[in-house]
Amino acid sequence: MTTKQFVHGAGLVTAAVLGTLSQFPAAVQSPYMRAALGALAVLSALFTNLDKVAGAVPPALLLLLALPLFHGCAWLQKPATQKVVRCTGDVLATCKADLVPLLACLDVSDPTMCVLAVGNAAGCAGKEALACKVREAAAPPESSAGLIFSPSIRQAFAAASDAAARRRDAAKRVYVELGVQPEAP
Amino acid sequence: MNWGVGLSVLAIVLGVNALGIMAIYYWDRRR
Repeated sequence: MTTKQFVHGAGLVTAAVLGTLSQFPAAVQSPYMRAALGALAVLSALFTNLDKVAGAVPPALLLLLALPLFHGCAWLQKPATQKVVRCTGDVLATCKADLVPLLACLDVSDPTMCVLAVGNAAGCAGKEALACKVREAAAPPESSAGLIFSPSIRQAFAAASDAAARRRDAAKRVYVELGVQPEAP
Repeated sequence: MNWGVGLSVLAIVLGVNALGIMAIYYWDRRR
């Protein structure tokens, strides 16, 4: 193996590793950082070995054409009710990685802090969640505050009696749904 | 198709995918 071949191989492996890393929110939390890694992967693949890339572009284009189809399915699976609910305050977490530490210190006496959805949130891969701090502190459960979309969470939500218990129960169910253990505050 | 082409395809597809996900995330946050 010549030095040139080694450099080309190392460059392409690096590009593939960077591209793979950009797909895991658990590894790199910020979507902007993941996009930067992705851009770096594309650039290093393009500039490492142009003659290899010439052969790689047609199949890559074909796969890229199929990507919107894949992501479109995730969009279609979004519950229709999600369109009704608006986050009227600050978005606290959109991904599992952001939500787990948030839930660990979730103040159940704070009526403005709610877990809004568990499912495939945009910008996240796999099962994710959306937590939100709403401005209308006294909003009823049927409105924006505390509306949970996941069927199992919705059941838990409906079964609970008071608002604090609803949020506490919903938070517990989020842990179960996401398959994580709550961390000590 | 050799492994070099395969790695290039992988890197390009995953990289563009990450960029697309960021675009959706950014658009959703703005909405």
